Amino acid sequence: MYCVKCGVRLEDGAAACPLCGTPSWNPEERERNTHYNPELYPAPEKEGKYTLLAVITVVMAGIALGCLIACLAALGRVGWSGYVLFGVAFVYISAVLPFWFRRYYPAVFLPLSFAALAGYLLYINGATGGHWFLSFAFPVTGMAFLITYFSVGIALIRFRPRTKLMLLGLLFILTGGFMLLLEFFLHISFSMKMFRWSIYPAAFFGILGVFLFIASLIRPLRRGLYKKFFI
Amino acid sequence: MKRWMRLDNAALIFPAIRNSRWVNTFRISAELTETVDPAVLAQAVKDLKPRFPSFYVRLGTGAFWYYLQQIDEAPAPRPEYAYPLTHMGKREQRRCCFRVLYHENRIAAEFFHVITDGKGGEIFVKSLVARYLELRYGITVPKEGEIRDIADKARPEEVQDAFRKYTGEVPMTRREGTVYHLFGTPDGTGFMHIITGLIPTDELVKKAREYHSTVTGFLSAVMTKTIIDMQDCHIRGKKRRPVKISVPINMRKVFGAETLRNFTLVLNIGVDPRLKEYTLEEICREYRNQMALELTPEKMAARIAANVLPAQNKLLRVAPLFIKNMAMRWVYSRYGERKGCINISNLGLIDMPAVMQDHVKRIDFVVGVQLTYPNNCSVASCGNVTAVNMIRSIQETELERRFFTNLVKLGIPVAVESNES
Repeated sequence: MYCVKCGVRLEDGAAACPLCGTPSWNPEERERNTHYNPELYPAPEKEGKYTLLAVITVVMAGIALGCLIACLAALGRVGWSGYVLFGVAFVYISAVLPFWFRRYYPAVFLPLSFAALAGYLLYINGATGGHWFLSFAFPVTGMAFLITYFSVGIALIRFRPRTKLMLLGLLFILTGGFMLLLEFFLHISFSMKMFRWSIYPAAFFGILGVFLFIASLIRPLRRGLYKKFFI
Repeated sequence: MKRWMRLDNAALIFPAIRNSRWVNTFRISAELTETVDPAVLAQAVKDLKPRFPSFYVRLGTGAFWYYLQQIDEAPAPRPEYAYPLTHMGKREQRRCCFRVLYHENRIAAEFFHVITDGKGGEIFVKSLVARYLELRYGITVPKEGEIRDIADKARPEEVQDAFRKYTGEVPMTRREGTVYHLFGTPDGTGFMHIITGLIPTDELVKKAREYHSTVTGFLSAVMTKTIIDMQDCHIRGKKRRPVKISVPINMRKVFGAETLRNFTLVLNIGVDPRLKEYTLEEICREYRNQMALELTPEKMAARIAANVLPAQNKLLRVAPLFIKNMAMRWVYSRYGERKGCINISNLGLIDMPAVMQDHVKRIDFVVGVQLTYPNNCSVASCGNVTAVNMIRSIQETELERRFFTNLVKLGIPVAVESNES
């Protein structure tokens, strides 16, 4: 018995051509005599992932609501349960939400997590009557987000080796700058002394960054680095 | 004391790149003339243990390296319980790195690539079948060629890492251009679709000779032509990419090595469809020349050096395992699977003594899909039957259909089987 489309010979009793799916015409219906044994194959597994995620969601929502109700009953206002509520929301958005999707989309989930963190900090700031959100928490979270976003981008996007090294150098320089700014924001919000510690990491990252940046421009140095350290 | 050994140089990559859904495995099965007796098979598997110490191992995880440790008990053969090349999970690899399966009159062995390559697996399966036939029918199979005598002891050169022995001093660059990539709708269930094309060996060899080519070269050329046609359906003109076939080369032949562990290197041969419309003759000629150019011991030693030397890097050696894994995954994604469209793994003619051949109808060789290539092709001949096994993790059968139809158009009779119900 041959497939009329592909011209290949088919197994005895095959219902269709495995290549093109054309039904085969069996003048004498014979039992399929096959090398393989499809009757043994297990049924495809159901994805257990979503059940687990649903359970986690229910448990987390239960904890948050339970705290809220308990607090409302005891104090008559939101009180400490607000921290729990926002904390649970932050953990859920950054650690559980991405798993609902088939793959992790850093371009979407990273900003979401940092936004959730900033929201949480804003709530704490408001609830405690603090004055540090705009002058400290918001800029620091923003910078941390930028640096994370930048490094994830470098890691995931394919660049030419030279561009990659250059961007890596820039990332290190940025990180060094971040250290300085961090101390500056600590200084203006909590009146800590300036330039006590940040210059050391800043100098370290800065020098490393400048070195990588220069290395990206000099081909022999780049090749040497690649051979030694795979970068 | 349980002996342990280091992974050979090629095996280093396999545990590093495995994941919960994919691991690099291959399967060699022999179809006998009569139903398999499980008790006799179990005895045969046990008997082979002292002769093949590098097979009866488990994969252990250390702080700095993976290692292979000999196991006490030979694995018990299992009746086939699912489709070929069912995922071999980490737990199973921790117990034993291969499994022996039987179904009606078929004996199959599925290996994790960390212990051996196709040739080593072939030698093991042949010796296993020989031992089984001896126990079952009381015949004596002459211990010639690749069938090992279980009365002998394992020779040191059989368990050594041949890559380290034959490495060159200067590494060859691994830089190659990227190629066209096959794609399709992922199946998602983990099921491996297999379509087997059965071809009379004499017709295939005759046709290959007509094109002044080897069977591997000829099949690679037909596959290249097929993939070029497929690419033309999606991309036209200058945006087209080169089409390359990854052909694993058995280095034992090149260096005269005896090892039963991994000793294979992949050679990417291909043509660039932007240069001209290649005919099959031209592709065959191209492949003949490319192979002749690359298959010299010096160049092979330089290729080995490119794999061996980084593993000797002091910085990498002291790094903890998870850092090594990250580095290896990165190297693999960059060099491992981006330089070819598909693998064509040919075991060649599997010869055996006449007394054994009487009991063996057919031998199949199936290499699992790679991490990113959705298709894979493996070939083995036994007697006058050449089984071309095309495995895929996607739903579309376009490549298989075009490939086998092209063979039919060339006048080669193909009988097709599938593992789907």
